[in-house]
Amino acid sequence: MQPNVTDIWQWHPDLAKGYSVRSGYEILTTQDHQVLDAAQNLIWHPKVPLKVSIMAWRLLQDRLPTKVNLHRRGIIPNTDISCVTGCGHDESADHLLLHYDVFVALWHQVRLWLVFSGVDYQSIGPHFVHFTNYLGGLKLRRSFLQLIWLLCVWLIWKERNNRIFNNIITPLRPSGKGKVPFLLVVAC
Amino acid sequence: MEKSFSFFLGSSDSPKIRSDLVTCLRFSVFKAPSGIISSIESLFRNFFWGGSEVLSKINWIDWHIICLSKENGGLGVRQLQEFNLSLLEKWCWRLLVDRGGLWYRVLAARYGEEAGRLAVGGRSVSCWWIEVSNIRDGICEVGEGWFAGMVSRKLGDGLSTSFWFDRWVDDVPLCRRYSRLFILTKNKMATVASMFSLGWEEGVERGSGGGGCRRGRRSC
Repeated sequence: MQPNVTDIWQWHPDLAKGYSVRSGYEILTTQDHQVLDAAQNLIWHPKVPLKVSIMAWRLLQDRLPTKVNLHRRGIIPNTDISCVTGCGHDESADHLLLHYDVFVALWHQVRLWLVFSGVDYQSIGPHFVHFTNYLGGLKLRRSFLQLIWLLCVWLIWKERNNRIFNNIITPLRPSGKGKVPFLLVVAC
Repeated sequence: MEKSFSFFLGSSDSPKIRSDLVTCLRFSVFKAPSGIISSIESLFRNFFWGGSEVLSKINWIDWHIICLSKENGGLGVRQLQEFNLSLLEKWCWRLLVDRGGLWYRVLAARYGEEAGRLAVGGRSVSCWWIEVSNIRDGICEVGEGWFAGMVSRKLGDGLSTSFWFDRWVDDVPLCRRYSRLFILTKNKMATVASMFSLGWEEGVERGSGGGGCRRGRRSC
């Protein structure tokens, strides 16, 4: 016991300040921390609009309305799930972003522009992580590549929607070394 | 339904006009019925997936996942029920620390004090006070007594801490830990300081509960 000191109430999560609505809310909503896929942490970037982050978030969980997913939900019939280009494959997120020729070429050009070479991963999460770490561990570089990746994904999805719903095809122009790929210029 | 919406979402005629501030104000005073919470959340959901009041769209991802924090792989959308409770929790905290306030004295005059804290009161009690006292006493949906488990008394001179009722040593108040002893106690309202003055070995501090209680037993 300490004489001349008044007894006080303590709120255990924050002994100094006492109760705050924020800490109360955190306690009520805290769950066991889930181990996240490394890619999941990369979707948030201060320069990226919320809609892009949310789109990437859905993409990583494979919850974008691709034709395969729409078929799974019973929206479109089995006969209608082939890729928009008529390449014969089903339109899954993996296919659209990483395997479909035109967009593979986009990734290729982006890499050319950034002057690095590398293999593209076959599934989206690892692709994102790998791409972001291409140029080593510097924070600024990683942040920049993160931006580029999110931008590419956003563009690919927009382009796909344009092709399906508006019949507009934006050509991917070959660009010389050191030039920004056309699609990226449009977006910037 | 329309009426209850405008109650929680502000006084506008249309439930479509949502004001966060007003929601927040209502939520900080009243406990929203679970039906209202789920109606509001279904409006949120509809909006998020691009639907409208007449047309609902596919909910591609479970709402609970959307509500998870970003660190846990969600989007960090506020969970209304928990938010509501944590706002009401603030009243429970004020009940402890703001006893000089006029609002507390009004409540004390209206419902009376029992064992060093406000009594729940008789039958005709305000619905606000029922909700707040339920949360204080841990009678609600979210784990029993979680608020009480998070607050304790830090001992100074011991003059304003109740020996039996306050949680100043150990995880539960002494009146519950040594309930039989407590029944035999004459002065149930004793403070820690008065128990101390009855004779108590020096150097007993918060945390070494066992010693303090043995001495306390002898003095009562």
